[in-house]
Amino acid sequence: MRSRGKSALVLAAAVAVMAALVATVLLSSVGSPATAETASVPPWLQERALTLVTEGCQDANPSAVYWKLTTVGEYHVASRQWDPEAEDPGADTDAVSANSARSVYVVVAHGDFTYGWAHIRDGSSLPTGHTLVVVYDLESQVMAELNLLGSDVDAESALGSMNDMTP
Amino acid sequence: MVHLVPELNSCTARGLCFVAVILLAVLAVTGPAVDTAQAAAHLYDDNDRTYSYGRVYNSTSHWLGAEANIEVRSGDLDSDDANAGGFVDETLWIAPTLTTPYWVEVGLARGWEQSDILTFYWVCRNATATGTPPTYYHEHKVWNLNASNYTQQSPVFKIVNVEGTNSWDVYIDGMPADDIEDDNRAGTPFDRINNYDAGLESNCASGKMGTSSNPVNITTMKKKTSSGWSFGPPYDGYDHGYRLIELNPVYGYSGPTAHGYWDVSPGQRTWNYRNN
Repeated sequence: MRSRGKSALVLAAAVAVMAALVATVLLSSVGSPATAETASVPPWLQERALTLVTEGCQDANPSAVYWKLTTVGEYHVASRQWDPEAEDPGADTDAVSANSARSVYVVVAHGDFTYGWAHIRDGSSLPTGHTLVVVYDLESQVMAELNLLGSDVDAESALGSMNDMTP
Repeated sequence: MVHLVPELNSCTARGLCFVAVILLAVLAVTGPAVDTAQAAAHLYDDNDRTYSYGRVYNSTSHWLGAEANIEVRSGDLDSDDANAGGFVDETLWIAPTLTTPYWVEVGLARGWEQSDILTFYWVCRNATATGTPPTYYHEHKVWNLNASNYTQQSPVFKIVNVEGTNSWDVYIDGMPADDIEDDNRAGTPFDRINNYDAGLESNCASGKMGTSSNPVNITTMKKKTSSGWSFGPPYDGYDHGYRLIELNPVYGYSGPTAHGYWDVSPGQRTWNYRNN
């Protein structure tokens, strides 16, 4: 009788562990957690961004890929920290955006990139770089802006807490 | 020592095992948290590029802006792989010299990143003031002008230096070509240009730019000097001073095996296609 009780307890413990594991998987797939660190990436964004990184930018194994849902205004402020135009006194750094409240997804990737989908001038080589910052409009899911930086820039720190979707 | 196997005959243990099996099955079916399927796309390199454009160039000139009107109906721009990184576009490029690895361009594209759409855009390829790495490439979708309104008319592209700076403002039909940040200004390492190009570019394996009944025309290629705007200097005797540089046939282009070429007739501002 005592032995039977112990067996039941062991099995109950095993079931509890498995149930917790299943619950964790299910919760992460539906994106229930509200914290940025555990938010669920929209499938369309993951597909588009990873295809851009691995095929458009020709790095099948990027060292890191992050994403974040933010606004144009917040992105504009953060981008001043890596955009060399901000260092140009003639640059339009104080543009007040009518779209500043517009929701956008920002993707930051690090790797060894050659952007094959670039628009280039005849005789020029494809742009290369190590940091990719891409902005997707939430509503239309169309890419609004792409930045390929030659050096490895910590753009994710400027943008604040980001989510990991490194493949 | 606890002997589990004999105890499994009990009703309680069998019930718990049944629950465990169900949970394991759910876990197996649920799989990865996120769908990782990716769209088909192919790699592109420099060899995929197709160009046909007019060029105004004078090695000793220092111009402050350029303007071009490239007549091609947007409905006659098509890329078969526009949803997988392919595109065709009509574009104005400016650059300080023929060989510097940086420039500014504005254009109308069919195919944008992985979207099969028609859109205006502008691009700046940048570098440090000395022209050395690190480089910087950025492209912007134009947000305040609807390219779909241009199916029957051609836009006028213009890029103008912001006086006294290395920045250049980008315009389409006299309107600022604003990106999603309401910004139409490109910062560069240069404040003067000595050449500009206007024409077509494609990276797709199959597509079209113009048709026999609606061929591509360049009706304007102007430059800005300190005294105002004027047409480009005569070049090889062609009207309005631009010549065509053809790297691949574009009109009727349907793949690597397509053949044909563009030509320009002196005194005319039309690209004429001829079969080989």
